[in-house]
Amino acid sequence: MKPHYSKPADIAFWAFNTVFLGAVIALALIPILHVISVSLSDVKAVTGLRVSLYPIGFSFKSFMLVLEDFNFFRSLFNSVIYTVSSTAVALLLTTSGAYALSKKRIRLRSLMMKFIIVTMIVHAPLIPSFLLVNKLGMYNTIWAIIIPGSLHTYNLIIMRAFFNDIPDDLEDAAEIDGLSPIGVLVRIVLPTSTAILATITLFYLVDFWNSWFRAFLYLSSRDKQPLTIYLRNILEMYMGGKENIISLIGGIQSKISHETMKAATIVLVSFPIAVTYPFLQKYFVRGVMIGAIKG
Amino acid sequence: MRVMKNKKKMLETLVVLMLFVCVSVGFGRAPTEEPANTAEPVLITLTWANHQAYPWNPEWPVTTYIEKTLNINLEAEAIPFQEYDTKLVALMAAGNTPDIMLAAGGDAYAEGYKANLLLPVNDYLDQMPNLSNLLDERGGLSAVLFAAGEMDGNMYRFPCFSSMQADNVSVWVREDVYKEEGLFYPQTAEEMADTLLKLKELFPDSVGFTNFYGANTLINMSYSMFNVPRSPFSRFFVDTSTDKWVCEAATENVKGMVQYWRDLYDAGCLDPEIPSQDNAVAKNKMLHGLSMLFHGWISAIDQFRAAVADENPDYSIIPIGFPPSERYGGYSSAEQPFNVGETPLVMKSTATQGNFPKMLEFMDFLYSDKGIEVANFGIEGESFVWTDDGLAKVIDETCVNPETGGPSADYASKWGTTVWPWKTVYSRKFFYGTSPAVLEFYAREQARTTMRSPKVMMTPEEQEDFSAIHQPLNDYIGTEYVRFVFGQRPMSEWSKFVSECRAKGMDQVTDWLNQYYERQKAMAAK
Amino acid sequence: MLTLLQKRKPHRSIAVRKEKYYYAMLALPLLWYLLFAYIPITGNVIAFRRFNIGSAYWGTGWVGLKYFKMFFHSPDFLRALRNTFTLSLKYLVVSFPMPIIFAIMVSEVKRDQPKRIIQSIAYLPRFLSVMVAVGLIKLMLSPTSGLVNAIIQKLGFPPITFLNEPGYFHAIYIVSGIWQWMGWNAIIYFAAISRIDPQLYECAELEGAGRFAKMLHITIPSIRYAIAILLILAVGRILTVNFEKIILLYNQLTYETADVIQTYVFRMGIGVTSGGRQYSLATAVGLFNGLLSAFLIVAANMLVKRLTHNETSLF
Repeated sequence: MKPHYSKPADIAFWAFNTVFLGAVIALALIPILHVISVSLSDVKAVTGLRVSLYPIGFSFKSFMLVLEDFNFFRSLFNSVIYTVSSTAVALLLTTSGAYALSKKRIRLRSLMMKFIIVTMIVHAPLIPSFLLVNKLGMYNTIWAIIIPGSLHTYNLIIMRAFFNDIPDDLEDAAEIDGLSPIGVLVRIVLPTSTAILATITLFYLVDFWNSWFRAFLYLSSRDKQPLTIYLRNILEMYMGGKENIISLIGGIQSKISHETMKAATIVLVSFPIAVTYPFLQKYFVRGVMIGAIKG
Repeated sequence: MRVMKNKKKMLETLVVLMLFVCVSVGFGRAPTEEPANTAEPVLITLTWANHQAYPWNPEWPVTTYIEKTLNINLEAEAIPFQEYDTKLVALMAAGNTPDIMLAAGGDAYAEGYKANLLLPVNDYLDQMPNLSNLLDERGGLSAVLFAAGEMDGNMYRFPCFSSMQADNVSVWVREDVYKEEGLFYPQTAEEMADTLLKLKELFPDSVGFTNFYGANTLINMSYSMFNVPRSPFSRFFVDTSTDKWVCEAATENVKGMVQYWRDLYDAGCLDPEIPSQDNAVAKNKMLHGLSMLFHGWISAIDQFRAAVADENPDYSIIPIGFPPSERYGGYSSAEQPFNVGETPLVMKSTATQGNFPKMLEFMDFLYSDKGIEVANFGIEGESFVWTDDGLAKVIDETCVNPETGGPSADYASKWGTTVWPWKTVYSRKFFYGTSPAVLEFYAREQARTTMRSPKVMMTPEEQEDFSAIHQPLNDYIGTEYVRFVFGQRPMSEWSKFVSECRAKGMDQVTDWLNQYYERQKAMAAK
Repeated sequence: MLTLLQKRKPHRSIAVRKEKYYYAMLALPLLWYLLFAYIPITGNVIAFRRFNIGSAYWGTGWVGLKYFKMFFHSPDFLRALRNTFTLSLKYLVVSFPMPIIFAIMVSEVKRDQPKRIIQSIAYLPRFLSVMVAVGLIKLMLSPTSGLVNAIIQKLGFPPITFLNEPGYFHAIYIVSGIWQWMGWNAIIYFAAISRIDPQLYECAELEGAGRFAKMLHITIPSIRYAIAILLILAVGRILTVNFEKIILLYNQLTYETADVIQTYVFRMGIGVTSGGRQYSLATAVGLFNGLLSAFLIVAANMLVKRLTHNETSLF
């Protein structure tokens, strides 16, 4: 249907909307462009803080330097493996948990929700978590990355809320047709929930890609490090209290600490995950639900 | 539905395949200790606090050289230094520690010490001849234990010695600007204030004095300028005339120090952005004339000059050290002869491991002459040579500084020197260049005395109670200094500030320190 | 419109049989929770005990509320608590509606192509790590090299060192948080809006509703449950401020408003002679945080239950 723009209120709305969205885009793009420009600029221009939104002294040198580093690719490979497998485990646990808990007829549902939410609020201290992982023999293995901490209660709750929204009639109809609850989940509910599935998958993918704490704590071999640790070893984050170490080492400028190289690494690390959203966007169409039940 | 089923099957197989790949890729084994075997190199595991400017490289020639010489295999885990202590504490709790823990800071050390998990170094000195020799040079074991031991009469850290060079940071002046404007290089703090005022007159747009890393750096740097001694217990020191501990907040020197910077701030000669600026912003100011007198690393000489060579070929900076105050006196910024701040730890449990003798041999090697040479300078014949003057000269052309003949900034990261800084001899001169200005700076600094109050031993319980009061007080004092200097609090409130400190337990801390100090002296006298 | 099917209530025996399947589905996640969440959480008990590394897992002796008292009596604890609350409350109030507004605005864009582009760009700042984001903020706000001050000076005013003024800290934290997270947090609302039946809009159109009316009476009510749940979750996280960001952005001059519980604990824990007591203390603080958050989330849940007439709630 063609949009009508006859009403003046509509036009005013459209104008306001355009300005608002334009501002959002601009504010989002400015820092991104800055980082990309820094990565493509000449070091001297960067040190002189002359680079703003476009590269000065265009050169791919910093990218080349990063890509020459074998460690970068190994970390990239590790990150991909960790992210995908963690997400797979997470989705399995989250979907089954969220679906089961969305059924009102489960007894103790309220109790179990409280049970789960407590874990979101009260955090396990560092040393007991570490001791557990160590005792299970998972230290310095991939299992320490994909299993503990793979289930985010936040996501489970959101998914459950969405499953709640699906009208019972749909599932009742399927049950009458003879499907078991698992069958209902797989064949009816999931296909109509592509939007929420895509959202939660995206959340997990991004969270796991960006997570560094588990890798830092539970891994020791260099060849198992993911990209986040690689990045953390490059970007300087001075939190205070370590003045003596800084003065000891300060000034030893290896190639790594050049601003352009840092920017290039940031771009290369953020790029893969930032482009997953457009791929998942097509799942944000309205579910197949409409029309499944003939009116 | 059929399509969905196929898709799902595909997804399932993909997931299973992924997990299979993960399992085969990810399965690792924890490093195990091997018995000492003359044929095979012995494995020694380490942890290293990785700093971004100086990341660990397993292929460092120096490390490889040491490995070959001793027939060992060093396996290091590089942990980002901000999280280093956290991880060490976790490893200690699980009993999953490496053989040697380098640069272990306060938290990890305290935990290990409290729990009797650490190896007492003094018990093994008979197996470490080189270390014993160095200790004898510094006054013998008892003197060292007084300075760096614990209540139970043991020393748990492998000490780090230095040769009392100057600190590797300094105050810099823009030589070219000073020459052009006919200014004099300040010899005292008061002269430095005068030059700053003069510079502000000449360059009204400049921000004045600036530095990296925030306001704490400014305050810390000023201690030596105003004769405020440093100690292992921040904000407290031993008054040498009475041999008693006092709190610095109650002294006139500190008030003078804060007043000094406050006056400069009010006159527009102290960069108000110091507490909050990004390092990149600070560097920009130093390079492009927004600040003509600033505080930075010794290695900045060459780097800064190279950075602006195109735009400003005359740019040159020289270090002037930390000019002492005429009124209050000042001392040298040189290192202390003996440091156990962030030095290696070994767990007691390693004493029963098979690779223990080799490990001691490795630690001892780094205290030997050859070890010191390799760790500080590189590999003789490959990366440097000794000249007739007794100085070291770089022969690796890819990382030599053409002006000084010393190493360029890339030298250490290429060869792996200064990783094991357990005895820094002439490494500073070597590493940071031997330009006349730098040599003069070192000479000047070494001619003055250093002042550092001793460490006071406490039991773990005493330590806990002490820190509960000392740490918040320390933080409070530091915060108030910055607030006074940067205009957030008028100097007229200074006495009020001192009484606030009193209210926060200043006297209690002082009493404790004096009490424990007397006890320590009494124990040593026996 | 959907018509309701005749619901044939299943027999009780079938209902019970079906329940077994659901419990089976729950088995795996529950097991995960028990093993990887609850077992480590029991470690929180060391907040009440003296803990020695290398000794027992549970510590060596009860000290009761010693560490809690230590924490409450520390001089600037009240200030830290006050700052945590005010900062997070302000942040919640200001930033919670933003993704909703943004999602609704984007959904009003008629053509698909610009809609996708806008969505894809708006969330990009989220991928900048904290260090990078803070570096950019510091650069932007610098009195000598920053854009904001350049504009201020053009207008004839003297430059302001924003990060030195305690009064600006909250604003900087909140605005930069919105800038970084609005696009990303809107994704869930995109998903919710995408589920609204377009026939509803068509019917409203036929009845003469304008865009504003449609937004008010269709879009917002349709996503109200999603909003409610997310609001409760946001309240539950209210005490979780972005520690890394604050610690990189604050300095001594802004402690007055910027020092929150986590940063305060961090500063009190480090020091040459920290003695390592921070471990039990840190656990005590974490427990305290958790209890406060639990209280808040229960309160929020009750409120939402009442407001939506028991239709939706977290538990």
